[in-house]
Amino acid sequence: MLERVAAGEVLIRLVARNAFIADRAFGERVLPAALQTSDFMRSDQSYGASVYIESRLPDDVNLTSELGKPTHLVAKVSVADLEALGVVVCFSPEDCDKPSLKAAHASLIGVTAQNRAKILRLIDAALP
Amino acid sequence: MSSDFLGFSEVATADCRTSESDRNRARSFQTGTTDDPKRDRFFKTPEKRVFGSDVSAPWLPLKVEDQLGALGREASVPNWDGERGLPVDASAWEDARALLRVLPPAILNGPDLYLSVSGDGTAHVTLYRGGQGRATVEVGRGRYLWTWVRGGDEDDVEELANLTAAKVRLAGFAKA
Repeated sequence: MLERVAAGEVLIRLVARNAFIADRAFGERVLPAALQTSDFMRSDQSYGASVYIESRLPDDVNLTSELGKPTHLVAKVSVADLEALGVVVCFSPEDCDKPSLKAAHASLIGVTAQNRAKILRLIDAALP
Repeated sequence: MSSDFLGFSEVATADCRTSESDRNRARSFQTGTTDDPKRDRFFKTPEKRVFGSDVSAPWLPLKVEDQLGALGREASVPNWDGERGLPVDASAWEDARALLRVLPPAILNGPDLYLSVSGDGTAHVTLYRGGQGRATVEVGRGRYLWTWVRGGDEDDVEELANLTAAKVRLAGFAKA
């Protein structure tokens, strides 16, 4: 049984630089490729897109460096906002290869083709 | 039906070739016509048969070929994204190339076309069209997904039946 992340938490989703088109209109800047759907991804090893719960991250950790993704962008999104779109956020330490980040690792369950564009708008709004 | 004719047909249904000789064969095929309507049906590109006119580029610009190659290498192995991402298989890339062939050269060479890969094992062809918003076709794992973000909070998401349906949808958006 997966532990659900509280609605009051804030999560961090990393966005690859090449999936963010900065000079496009707000709401259309993050490409769909930035967020895989769960339509055929769920398995024993992976529940869905990886996110990190801000309050569970070690103090002073630089998430992008820790994950070896120094050029990725950091988007902070409210768990409650995602839940409103039908996404369940659950802790999934077994999905994380970095021991230092396991406690903060969570998965987005319920990202589908139908709700992904709206989720991407939330992520877009969280980027500069 | 001669074997040469069959050879041309094979080029028409295959993905865009990278060698100059193959490109010349494909180009000569695309411009070829006959007086025989039955034979001409086979002589036309798939795009010409579907759309009534040949809107495909004779070949992909080098920068697009390069990008396809780079993405293909990047997403060729499991966990390529560090999130247990599924690899994008060869058939997805073949479909992506077939989609690109319906786009006019101005778009293929322009700044509004983006190619990308997703952790769910799909290749994406995304096109921005000013006031029309952004459309993406995802191909892979036997799936053809159309997503049109029209601005505001409007989205049009549809699972398409096959590659032909995806090509028709993308070509229509490109003309908008």
